[in-house]
Amino acid sequence: MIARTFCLCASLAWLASSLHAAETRVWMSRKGGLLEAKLGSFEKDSVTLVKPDNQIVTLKAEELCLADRQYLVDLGEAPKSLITGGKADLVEKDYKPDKKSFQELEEKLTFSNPDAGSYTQLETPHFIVASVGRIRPHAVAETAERMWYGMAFEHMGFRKHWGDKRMLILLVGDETAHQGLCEYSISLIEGEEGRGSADESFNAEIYRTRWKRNGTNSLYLPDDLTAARKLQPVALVFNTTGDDEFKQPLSPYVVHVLAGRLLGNYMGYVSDYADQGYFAILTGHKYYKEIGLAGKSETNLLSVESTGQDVISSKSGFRDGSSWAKTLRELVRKGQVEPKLGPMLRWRLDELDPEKLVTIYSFSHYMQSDNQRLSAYSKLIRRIETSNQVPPPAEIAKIFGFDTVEQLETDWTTFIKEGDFK
Amino acid sequence: MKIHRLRLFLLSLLTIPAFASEEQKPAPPPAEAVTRDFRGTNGVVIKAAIIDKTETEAVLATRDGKRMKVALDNLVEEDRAYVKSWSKEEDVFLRKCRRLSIRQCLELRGYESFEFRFDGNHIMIDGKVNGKPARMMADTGAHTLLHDGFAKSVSLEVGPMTEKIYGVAGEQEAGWTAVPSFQIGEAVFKDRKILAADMNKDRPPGSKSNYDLLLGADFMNQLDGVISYPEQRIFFRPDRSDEDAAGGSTDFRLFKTKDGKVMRGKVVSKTPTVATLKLVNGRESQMPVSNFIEADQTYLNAWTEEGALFMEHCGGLSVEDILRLRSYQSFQIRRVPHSKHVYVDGTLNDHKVTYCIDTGAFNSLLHIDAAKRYGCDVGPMDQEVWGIGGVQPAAAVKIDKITLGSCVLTNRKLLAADLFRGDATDEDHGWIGLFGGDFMRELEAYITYTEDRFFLIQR
Repeated sequence: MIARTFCLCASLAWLASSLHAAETRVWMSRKGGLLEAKLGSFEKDSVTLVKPDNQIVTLKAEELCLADRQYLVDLGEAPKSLITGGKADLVEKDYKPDKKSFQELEEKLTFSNPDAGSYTQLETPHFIVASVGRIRPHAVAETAERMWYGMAFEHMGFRKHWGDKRMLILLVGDETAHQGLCEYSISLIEGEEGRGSADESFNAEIYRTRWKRNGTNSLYLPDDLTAARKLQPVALVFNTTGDDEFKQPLSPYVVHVLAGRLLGNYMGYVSDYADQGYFAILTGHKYYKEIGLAGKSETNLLSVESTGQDVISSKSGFRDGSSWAKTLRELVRKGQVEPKLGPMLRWRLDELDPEKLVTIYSFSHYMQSDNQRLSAYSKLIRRIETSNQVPPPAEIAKIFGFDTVEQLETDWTTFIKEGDFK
Repeated sequence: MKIHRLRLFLLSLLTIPAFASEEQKPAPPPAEAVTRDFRGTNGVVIKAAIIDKTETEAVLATRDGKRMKVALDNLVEEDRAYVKSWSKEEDVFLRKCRRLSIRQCLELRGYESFEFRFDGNHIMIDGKVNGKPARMMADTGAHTLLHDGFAKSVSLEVGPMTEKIYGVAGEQEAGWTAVPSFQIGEAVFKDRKILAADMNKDRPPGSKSNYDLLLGADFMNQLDGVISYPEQRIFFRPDRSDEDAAGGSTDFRLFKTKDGKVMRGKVVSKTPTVATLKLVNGRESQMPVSNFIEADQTYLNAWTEEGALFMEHCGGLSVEDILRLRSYQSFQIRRVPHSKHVYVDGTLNDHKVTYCIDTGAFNSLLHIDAAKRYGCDVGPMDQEVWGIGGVQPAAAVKIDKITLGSCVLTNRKLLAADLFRGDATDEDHGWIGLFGGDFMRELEAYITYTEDRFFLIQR
């Protein structure tokens, strides 16, 4: 991973030994290049890094990922303006993962339930994408690596939090295998595979219904598999039967799912007594990435009504998935939609309508619309990750530099009406 | 105008003897030294930087390279106070060594250091017990403890469950277990007796303890542990004292070349390929790093001027000094008789209180009576907390403000439970809650048992 070239407009030189002091760490550039080096110096807008072989790399600080710029600011080496200036980009758009780091494994992946299928495996630096059926894993693997890079770019703790374990993504293009995987998952949850027994509320029939209907499911892997393959404990299962959206990188639905999975993985769980807003933040992020990277939304959310338990309804934004911003802007200008943080954080899936869903999207877009806000957004996500709770509106306003929630709402509304809201 | 200023400056230098004496060898002031106006009691002003001091004199360096000794009695009171508060060690550190991490500073002093990973807010270390892989958790709020199921799985014999241990959820039985060895990194701890208990007691179906061994406050105390949340490292005391380590590193050492030459010297500078050694006979010798034997190459490659300066000039700086210079707030850890646990003073909704520093608390937790007494909005007892003793009911509480020094945490929700199990009050115990991993991660905490201090920074 570290061996990849640090593709920067860097000048190479030898420097006096007095610079060789700070601790070695892995730096990431805007283009995704990684470099193991010590901080030599920061002067004006340039950073000098010292590689382990004492070679010197000098680069413009703005060429570093936002997370590394945050590191320099926290270290007291760089002014805060390094992370607050300029427009935020969706860096996943331009990032091209090194395909040489993608390796097709000879061994097939199988599970203890033979009906769950036999999968070809593509290993990338951070994922194993395994597929059965006609879909090849390469496009999803590229999307996953690009989305991973986006998270690492923006969030200082993401890389360390991810660690050295890969996430397993299963592309299941075979009905029998999909159903077999469902049964395998049930057996894991019910404890037949040694993960312990499920709680009393687990209902296998409802689980089967949801599994079949969902485009994506989670599979909690057994400990021996995660240990042997150095995998994260939860795998992502895409039902790829009959779909072509897995053939191209950055397709809307795959972006949506991966954006949510990576952010959710980083934030971790939240306590049920302080989870208000988790849904809005996560859902907004998924749609922001989907629309920003794929140009439109094609994703509907499925809602399972809590009373009937088998009544499933679909939730989506405005019908034209490419004109959400335009439609919401008009509604806000006419006063038909009023962005309010407190109520929005309380919205649940089952009460969503298109206006609410697009308002959620607009807030995520707002939070990531320039580097100053993106830096605050990163701080908000870190706060959720450490506290296991979503801060209340007054705290969110404070994190974004406002004294009151109303001030934040005014700024957000202005962004929708007059800003770069697309 | 320029000439006029220069004349004034020269005039002031010429009048130096009134309160200063010039040194023999002029040398420029150290790079980036803080230059300021020093005022003499006779009204003379010298623009200079302080570079050393004694009880009675300050050594000043002017920008043009002059050095002079100034009697403190000849300075105005404000400047005397400045000199008194000035520390050469801190000055060298800030100018020359400020990029050294705490890890580097401690490792230079011989501390053993171990990287840990977070499991949520828990500090996890991979180690070995009785030669078998074990998941260890650093828990300053507990005593060192083995999970009995794990102990049995690594062929340890758990004694009769005749002991009682107490935790957040009450009491629990435990048995003494002889542990021939447990290992963290290269450090091996032999022949310990550790209590073992069922760490899965009352856990909900499907969930289980995420550790096999708790490294408790007793262990941290014994090894003068330092816990660094931002660096994700734990450090243990070196075998030798700091003074010995400092002396050793700056002393002359033996270097061997591949062709069999042996020389005693110390590194004075280094380029990427060439090391300059000062030999015991006073001469300097330059030699390619690649000419040395492998062990010496490793030493030379790791050598840094900052590290050498740190060891030579900053040996007296404590962890507190170094963190304070980095804008950390420092808190004195409080101890309670007959307890290894550590406590820190703060406030809860503007009431002065004391918290127990507990790295094992996934989230901070309040004692329910204190939460009510100090104006928290306490919800129904419909939540649960798990820990030693099993499970017990808890309530979600809204807190307006928690402070430790100038670190302010507002609008938080925590759980509150009966931490003292009804047998005493928080006033009896002298503390009202657990300051847990959530806050310590957010505020990038350091804990040092050597200095009994706790450090936080709010960014």
